[in-house]
Amino acid sequence: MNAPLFPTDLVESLKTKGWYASSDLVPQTIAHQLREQLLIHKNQQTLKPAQIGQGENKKARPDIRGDSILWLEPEKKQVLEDDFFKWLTEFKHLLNQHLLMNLTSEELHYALYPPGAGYQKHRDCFATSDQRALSFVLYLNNDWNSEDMGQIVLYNEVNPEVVDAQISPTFAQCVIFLSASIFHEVIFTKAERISVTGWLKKPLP
Amino acid sequence: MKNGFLALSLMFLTVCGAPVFAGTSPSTASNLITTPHNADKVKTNSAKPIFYGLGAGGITFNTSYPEAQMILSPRNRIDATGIVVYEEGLLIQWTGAPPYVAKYIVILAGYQGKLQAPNPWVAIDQQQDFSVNYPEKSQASAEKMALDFYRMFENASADDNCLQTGRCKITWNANKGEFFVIELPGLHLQFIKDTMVLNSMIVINPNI
Repeated sequence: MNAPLFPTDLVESLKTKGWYASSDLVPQTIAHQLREQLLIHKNQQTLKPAQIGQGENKKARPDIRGDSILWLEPEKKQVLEDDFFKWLTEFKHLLNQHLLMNLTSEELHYALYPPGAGYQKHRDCFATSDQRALSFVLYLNNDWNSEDMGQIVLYNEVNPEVVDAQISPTFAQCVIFLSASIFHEVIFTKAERISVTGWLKKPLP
Repeated sequence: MKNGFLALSLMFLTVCGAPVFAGTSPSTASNLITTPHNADKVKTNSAKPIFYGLGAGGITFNTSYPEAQMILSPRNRIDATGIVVYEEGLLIQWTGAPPYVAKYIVILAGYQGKLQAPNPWVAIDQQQDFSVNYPEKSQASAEKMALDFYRMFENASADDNCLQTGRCKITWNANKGEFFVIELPGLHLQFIKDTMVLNSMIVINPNI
């Protein structure tokens, strides 16, 4: 597999704004493979309601998030996930080279928002852990149109009261942002909305 | 549609003399607006009331895109999606053809203005708890709410049934999802199923 394209503006965008978005970052073939795998899981009904928090504090909070998820586990990876994990390994290596981030692992899950679901404004980093360094979202929605809504809204890194950007969840659109500092919310969706979502992590201090 | 937005972008270029990007990548630097944050303007606009089927943030569905760019504080120039997000806590979908007005306005977290409701209702807060009015947390209760809201906002008679006529709609998702959505001609409302708390609002242009 070829090395992933590493956009020249990715590093600058993460440094200056704390986020980056592009539909050219992850190869389309990989997005198609992940979409197909997610739809298999959906048909097998293996996605479960998401929870928030960590450890004993983990609980389902439908007032905050309304998606169903299934974790991607490298040691149990499916054939259709193979290229994605290879791409991700190389991508993390390039991020570490350019941003000196020491990313060593990842937590990723498939996410399905049914019509009517959204996710209130929040940050991805747990108060008790700073392992989550970069949040990663890859949208897998074919034929998405603006009437379907479900956009992700990113807030300003310096002033989180101020909206910074919106990104539509179109096929292969990838959004990366600093987990600890970028607040974001998901507008409630009118159509089923699917993605691979997760975090690129640093080792424990 | 894309040609429409290109034309709109060119019109904006003519009006404002500013560089305009007609692509779709939100990370493209030329698509972002870096105007200094005007806290007073944002605070004032984000406290303005929300009007059913009419507008929010001090703009209406008659306000054109170039006018709105002056009134509000945009974070990005319009692109092929037609969506612009504003510092006030608004996300607006613009039409792709003249007269370039808003199709819908999403009220985001942090927007302070309240939804104006006819008497005897008072202004509705973004996180208002409706369990007092609708204590039963069920689809039937949600349907009653949809009928009441329709009659209130559309000034319809007490026996009007918008669910039957198709003028309103509910997305309930009986077996999945923890939210339900009521769609009225001028407003879409998202509620939390097990608390009946209003969670999110989208003002709809009923003429498009």
